[in-house]
Amino acid sequence: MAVLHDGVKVYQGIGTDTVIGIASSSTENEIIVTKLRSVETFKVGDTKALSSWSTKLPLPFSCPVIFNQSSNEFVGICNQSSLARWTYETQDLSKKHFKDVGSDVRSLLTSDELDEPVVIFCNGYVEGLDSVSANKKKTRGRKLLRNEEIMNQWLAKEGQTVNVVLLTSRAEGYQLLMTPIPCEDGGTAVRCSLKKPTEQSTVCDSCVFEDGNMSSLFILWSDGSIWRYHLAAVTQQEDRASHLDGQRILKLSSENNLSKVCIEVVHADFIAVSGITGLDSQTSVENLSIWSIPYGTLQGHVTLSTAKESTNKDSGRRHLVYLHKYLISATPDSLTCHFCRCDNGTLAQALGKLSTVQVDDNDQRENLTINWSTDDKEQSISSVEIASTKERTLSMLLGSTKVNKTVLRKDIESLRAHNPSDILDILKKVAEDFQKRKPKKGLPGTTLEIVVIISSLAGSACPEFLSAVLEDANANLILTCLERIKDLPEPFVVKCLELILSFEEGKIPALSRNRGNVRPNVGKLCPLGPKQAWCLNQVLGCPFNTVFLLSSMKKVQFDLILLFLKYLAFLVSKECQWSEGDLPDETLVDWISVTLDAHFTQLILTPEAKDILVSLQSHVQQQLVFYSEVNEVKWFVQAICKTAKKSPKDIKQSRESTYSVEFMEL
Amino acid sequence: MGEFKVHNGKFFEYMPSGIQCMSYSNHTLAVGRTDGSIDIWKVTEESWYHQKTLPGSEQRNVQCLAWVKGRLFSAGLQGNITEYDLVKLSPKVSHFYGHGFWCMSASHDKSRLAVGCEDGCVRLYKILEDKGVVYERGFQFQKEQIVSLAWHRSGEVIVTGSINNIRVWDVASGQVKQRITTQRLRRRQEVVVWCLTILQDFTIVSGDSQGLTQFWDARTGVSLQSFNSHRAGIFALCVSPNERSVYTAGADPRIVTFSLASTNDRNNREEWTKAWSSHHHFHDVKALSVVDDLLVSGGTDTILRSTALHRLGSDSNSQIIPKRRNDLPFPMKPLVQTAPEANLILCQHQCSVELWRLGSIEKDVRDFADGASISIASGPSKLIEIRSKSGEQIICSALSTCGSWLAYSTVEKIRLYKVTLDPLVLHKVPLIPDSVLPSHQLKFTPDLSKLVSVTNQCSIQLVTLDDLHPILFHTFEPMERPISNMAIPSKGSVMAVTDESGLIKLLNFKDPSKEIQTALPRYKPIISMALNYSGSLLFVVYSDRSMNEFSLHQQTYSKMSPKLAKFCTLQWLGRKQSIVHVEYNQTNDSQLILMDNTSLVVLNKQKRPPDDYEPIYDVSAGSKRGREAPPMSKVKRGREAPPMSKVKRGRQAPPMSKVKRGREAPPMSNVKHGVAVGEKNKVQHGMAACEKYKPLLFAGFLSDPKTILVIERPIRSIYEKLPPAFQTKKFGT
Repeated sequence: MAVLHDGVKVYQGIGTDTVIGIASSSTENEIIVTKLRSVETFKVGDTKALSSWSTKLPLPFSCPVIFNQSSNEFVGICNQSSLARWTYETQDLSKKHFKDVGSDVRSLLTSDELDEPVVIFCNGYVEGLDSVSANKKKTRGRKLLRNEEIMNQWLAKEGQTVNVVLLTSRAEGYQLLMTPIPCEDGGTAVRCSLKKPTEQSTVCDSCVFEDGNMSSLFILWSDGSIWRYHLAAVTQQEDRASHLDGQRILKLSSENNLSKVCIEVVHADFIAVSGITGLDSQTSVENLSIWSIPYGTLQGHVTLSTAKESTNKDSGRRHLVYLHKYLISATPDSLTCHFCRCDNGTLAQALGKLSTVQVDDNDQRENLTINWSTDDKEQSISSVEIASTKERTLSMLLGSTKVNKTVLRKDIESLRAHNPSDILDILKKVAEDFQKRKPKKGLPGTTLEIVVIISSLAGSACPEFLSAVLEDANANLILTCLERIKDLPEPFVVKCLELILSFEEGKIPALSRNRGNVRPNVGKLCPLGPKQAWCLNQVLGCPFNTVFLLSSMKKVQFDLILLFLKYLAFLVSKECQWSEGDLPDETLVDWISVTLDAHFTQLILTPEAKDILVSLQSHVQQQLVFYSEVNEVKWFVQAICKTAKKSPKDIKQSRESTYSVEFMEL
Repeated sequence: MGEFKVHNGKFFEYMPSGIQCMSYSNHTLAVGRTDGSIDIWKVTEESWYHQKTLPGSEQRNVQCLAWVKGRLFSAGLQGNITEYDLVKLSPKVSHFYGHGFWCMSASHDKSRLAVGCEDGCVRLYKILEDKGVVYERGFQFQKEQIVSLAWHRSGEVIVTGSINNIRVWDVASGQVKQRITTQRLRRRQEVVVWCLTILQDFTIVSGDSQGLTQFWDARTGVSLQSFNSHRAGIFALCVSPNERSVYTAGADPRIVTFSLASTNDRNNREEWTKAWSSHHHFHDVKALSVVDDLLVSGGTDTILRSTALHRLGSDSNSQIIPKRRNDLPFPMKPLVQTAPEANLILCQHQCSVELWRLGSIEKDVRDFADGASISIASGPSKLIEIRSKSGEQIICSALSTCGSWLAYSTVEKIRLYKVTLDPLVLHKVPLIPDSVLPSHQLKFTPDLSKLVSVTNQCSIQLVTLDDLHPILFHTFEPMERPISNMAIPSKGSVMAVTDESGLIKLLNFKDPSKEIQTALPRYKPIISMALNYSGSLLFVVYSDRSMNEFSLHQQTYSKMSPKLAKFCTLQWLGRKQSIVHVEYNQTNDSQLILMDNTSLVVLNKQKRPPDDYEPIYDVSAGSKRGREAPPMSKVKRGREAPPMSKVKRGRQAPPMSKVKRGREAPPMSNVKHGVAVGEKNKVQHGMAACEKYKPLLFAGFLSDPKTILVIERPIRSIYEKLPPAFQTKKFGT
């Protein structure tokens, strides 16, 4: 889940010096804010500028200033064609810091992975900074088509190569150009056109997000939808005129003035949106919100400014940048930093956040909501079609028609894409049916597994289905749920645990798919059979919260608890050498402490538990000895690291402070 | 005199201990330190020097010291009264009585020791004739512990200080005669009388934890006078021999003097007045002692300081010219042993030894300006650290010239190690025969065949070196007095030893059966000495810093000896620091390096001696030092020529004319300011001093005769490791 803190207003501008961009600086937590006439560096979240330079010459900065790590200097472009370079020590920017580059520069881009910053010229020519500053009179040929203009530019890593990504517009549509870096002679771009949601759609804002070695382009279209385009697809395409297909991830209400909306992806699962809500200029409010991409829920929301505060909110471009864990939002006259934290969390938490927001902020939130409704004209599948798909799926699941797995998969996918709530409906009906017909007929395990796998269910959305799964006690289906549903409530996890512990090894059905192959060689000492142990490990590996777990664990039968504790003692004793499915020690310790906590008195009083407790105690003692030894090693390592971290200059200095040799005449 | 490459190392983190107590008697000052060790200083009129150190032990805390007829006793909170063997440098006998002892004082007839105990009892111990003490009786118990104690000169009365009160005891009956309750400055705050004394006229002087110095009448128990003299507790107090001055010191850390001055009333009564206070220390002062005409003080800052007490005028406003002397807490024997051939040094800490490899310079640089630093190719590295067993304090250590053998000795025994350098292996020699006695000084012979040890029984033992089973090769006849120094030549077979009286003896360490008759003249105690490469010349430095050289072949003064006497100028002799280490240049007999704790001197006997007015030391930095020059009378006495009875008096005798010249010497202010050091043109004489590196732990030649090793221990780094001192508000802070 994502948490958005209240912002710190770094800068409240007066006059005409508007913010044109924000970039990361040399050190941690430092940002460079470029305005038309000046450049300032800030510690992010702090209001006092660390340093500031302004152009005395009549040349406004035309693109955000960047910091060149390799030469430790700031690089900026003034008046499109004059390159400025200066360092921290520079007091004032004077003529000597400027150099004409001959052609109009669109932007400067830098990345840790590159040796030098990249200069992007207005005509699409891409060149390294060093070669640009060396050759003033170089002719730089146009790389763009006729009437084509660059809208935005980024650096994006695709595999091991870094690409310059240019988003361009033409009368025919939007194009994406990718130029691998380093390049010669302006670079050879791979081109493809972007698929628009509708013919009339125009790009309102765009951003690129790198997740590992994969990059995606996010575009906010004028119809309020945000689409994700995988850039890997561009490089793989050979056909020049090909179209790049995207995927819609969010839909903002299109009533708003989307031209002032900015988007920024802060995490693979979260996107930040800032913009003005409310059409009336008197009541309009500038908001910043974070949305969960997979679930489409609102995660956090703050008000940036109200109409009264904002004087000239309609003029100028807005910026939204995510740097050093801060979301930095710039309007022409102000700069605000919001601390933003994103974790992988369960949907339950995400929903929880949503509900509180609804209570608190009902009035402000209404304009920026997800529109899941099916009344969009561009919807390719009609509601009639959906209804029939739903019917077909339901009948397959209820066993009235024969199951065709291929059809089923397709149907679920289409339902998931267009109306996910239908899947929940179907599952609910299946659960109801099960309740009516039990114990004669169980759940259709195999087909339901397919549904669970494809539809990426949230546990909190279908409690009836989960309870049906538990009652059915189908090991494979339970395991699938444990694997696929990330927000399983703790009572469900404990029920699963109870169920698996009460299974008899011989009666566990053959585990489907690959599960049988990873069956561990548990050895003689293991109190459980191999299949049972494997299943139990899946349960133990589920995410949980010990507080909620405790109350559920109290309800588990004591004989099962004894068996469970025996198994846990076996696991921590490390007598089993499993290559796969090894649980982290912390998880095991959590489970042990919860179990002990839940049944402490009974465990103390029961003679059978004594051996287990003794073995656990000896293990804990061993661990303590181990950690005390590790602690000692830690000092060693720290001391070594200290010396290792010292730069040669420091070493030399410290050496000189304790040892020196000099000439002396006596 | 040529350019030297000076390797300056500051890596030896020697940490001296704070001073806890002092006792002075018969020209000998004993200084007890917090680690239980006791320094013995010999005080003569013209000089005083650190003679030896009795190593301490964790089991023996030294809280107080007392001299009884040349015998030294200590008592401590661990409940021991210990008498020391000043020859063996170890406890002679230690009695444990089970009470913590806070204070101890010997009666004036030197027959008994009175101690104040933790349990609130004063106990008397009779001093036995041969060794040790025996319990005599205890006084009446009191509730509070007794932290301070003093005998009246009559021997009939003892005064004790404890918490909130002072008691006067009748020694005969063991009963309290008088109980004095101390004044409290703050309610509900206990007052500890940390120190007190009783004068002949039955005036008790006490110093307490509130910083009050109070004078009482012991007969009536009435307070005579009270001075709020210190801002924190008073820990030490002493009285001048004529009982007209009292000195107090404590945590704040001033030393305050009280003088007896006559009032102007009719009765011509005399009153105590606060005369002056001085600020010599920066940390708690724990001990004070009047040593002849000097007030000696010491405390947590580890430094022994002395101030001369000369009155100018007799009125109460008389001014005192303090003649200061600071003795750094470094022992008189170098704590650093070098192995020039292997570029190694051995640093001796209190309970451990460290073997270091010295740094090296990048390339053979030749033409460098004076003072230019040379870049280092590799810094120093610690190769080995050996800690003594169960924290025994190390008395001495030795390292062979090639670095392959290492030895150290504690009070208990000698330990010997074989060192292999590449790869680094330390092999402990297991079987050292019991007949090999604990040592006071160790050295390896240059041919690595033997270890020479000055034993704790005034003898010299030769031990044949062996990886596994060293053998005691020979034990020389013990000398009458403890051996203070030993010198072994790089080549040759004759070594020289000297005892505390200054007697020099020559021994053949290769063939001990060959006895050498020595008849070298004796002068003063020899502080340090060195033999030249071939072993033909013996250079000695006496306790008054005068120098001499003997030719061992001729058994008399060497040819250079008369010239050397001329080198002993007033300026040279006027310095207080003893010469700790002297060394011949192995390739040039006329060049020597001498070192005290604050300077190193390169002496070239071939060059002319400096005139009296020619600066040897940095005069600009030492303008204060001008004052340190002793009064002329002292110098005169100090300039007695060594007795020449054994040699023909004549040309070789050190010329006496120098003394005259000393008197004629122009005042220090006329001395040209400007340093001789480093200014090539100005140094014409053969004595070049360098005070750049101080305090010094070692200065000596390395294998290259043009390279000098200097081991510095900045006093600031010692101070940094001390516990926080009493904070006083300073203006502007």
